[in-house]
Amino acid sequence: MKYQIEVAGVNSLLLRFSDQVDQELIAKIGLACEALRTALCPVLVELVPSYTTLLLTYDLLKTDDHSIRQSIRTVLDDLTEERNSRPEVNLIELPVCYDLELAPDLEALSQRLNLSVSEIIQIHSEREYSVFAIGFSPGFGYLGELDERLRIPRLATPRTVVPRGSVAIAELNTAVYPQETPGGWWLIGQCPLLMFDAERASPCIFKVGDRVKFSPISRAEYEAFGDRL
Amino acid sequence: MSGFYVLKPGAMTTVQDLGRFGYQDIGLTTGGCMDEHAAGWANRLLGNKPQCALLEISLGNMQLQAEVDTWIAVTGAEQQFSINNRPQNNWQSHFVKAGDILAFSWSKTGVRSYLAVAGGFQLQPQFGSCSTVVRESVGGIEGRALQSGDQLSCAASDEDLFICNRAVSAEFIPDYSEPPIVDVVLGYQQHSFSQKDLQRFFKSDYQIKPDSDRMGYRLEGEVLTPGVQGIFSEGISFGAIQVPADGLPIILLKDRQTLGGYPKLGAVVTIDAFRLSQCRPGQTVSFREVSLEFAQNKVRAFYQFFS
Repeated sequence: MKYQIEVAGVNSLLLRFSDQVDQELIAKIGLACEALRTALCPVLVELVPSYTTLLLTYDLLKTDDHSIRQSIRTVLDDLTEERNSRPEVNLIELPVCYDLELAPDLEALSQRLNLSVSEIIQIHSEREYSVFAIGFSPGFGYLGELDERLRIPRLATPRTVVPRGSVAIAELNTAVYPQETPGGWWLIGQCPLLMFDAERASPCIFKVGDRVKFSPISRAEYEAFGDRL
Repeated sequence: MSGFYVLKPGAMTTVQDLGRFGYQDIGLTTGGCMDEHAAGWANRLLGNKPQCALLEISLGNMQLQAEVDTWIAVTGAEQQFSINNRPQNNWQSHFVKAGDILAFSWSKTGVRSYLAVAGGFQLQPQFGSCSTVVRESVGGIEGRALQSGDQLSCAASDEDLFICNRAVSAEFIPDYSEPPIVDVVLGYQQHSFSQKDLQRFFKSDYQIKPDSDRMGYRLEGEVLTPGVQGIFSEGISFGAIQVPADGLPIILLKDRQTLGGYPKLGAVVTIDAFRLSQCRPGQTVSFREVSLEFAQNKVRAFYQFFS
């Protein structure tokens, strides 16, 4: 596993694995993240994987720059030797209702992209996405990469309120808004599952490196989820 | 459990502790006391553990009524603090009785005052911490700033727990009106910046912009031009100095977003970021490059003292 170590702060290092984003890489970063978490647990404060990097924050009272770099190398060099080590990747299926009433930007998008609404739905829901990063708000996953036919810049004017569960696209990514927040992505549907729930054992529905597939559901099926929640 | 009753919440008063760690990978920021120096002293004056929950009072103008007899300590921003209209010293512990009214005037210098109680405020931690992050509606009281009528629980404590009021000695009390020189370690995408840009950053004075907050402090002054524009979003450390397209640096603090895609030239040293957090809009700051070893020794000494 190739990477560079950069200083990110007084007690933080940034491990940079590549300058290019790809799905194999994000799974590897997920693997590195878990291995470091297990091996360095007592001295670690935080690990933040994202796209091409892993931010590692450590406890200065327990280690220093020199020792932590050595420990990181030991852990990651061992990983490379274990040829069969495969990251544990979950495939998460997210139901989406693309009903126009729940998808305020779908018609405008259809005109902008020169695709019919059903083509957009088909393209969006047929491929598997990787979770490249989680941030912006708790549980907000940057899922990619989007099919080239669906790529579009963010809205010129972001909405001040995007409803919870909104399924959205912008640039290379698609996402589900875990909370009601402001947002500048195009809204193309609604997911009835909670992306983030503080009360759950695993509050976030996925982790970086996991795979996600959207499956279209009818309005009636969507409403039925509502009754169960 | 009774404790304190909020009569007037002030501009922005929140419950904070040392912050929430281990959840940035699912998008939760750390939160925590913006100025761990002043907050650390407030807990220390009472013999509390450093992670005890206390109040961070921004700009003062706040009133509480005690419902228990207990020891409290007040540190941080300079304001007029009084108990039942009798002025009291800042950076000191005090004994209060049930029914006493504690009042903070608008702060005169500095931004954030800290009010600690013996044993800390008792709240249900969320994700391992009581720190309030308003943007995420997490921690503190319902994830929000205090409102009039809120009830803050804490235990009563005995007057003879301490023989007298304890005060912080003058050498440890910063003068928040002084323009600070803020230490910086280079790192991250420092090579995206020309030598000239780095020199410009370290040689010039910057002013704090009015839209600075718990997420980040925005600077007005010499414009920098990073060689790269956007990068893939990556984790952001406490104190990171990011430079967006307008070339004006932003220093990312306790409520920072967990990911960011702007080039960063390095990070402000932890303790200096605490001092920076007491600067007001319009105040002047300047920066000094230090070695990582120097920075680590300085920060380690701070945490050894406060742990």
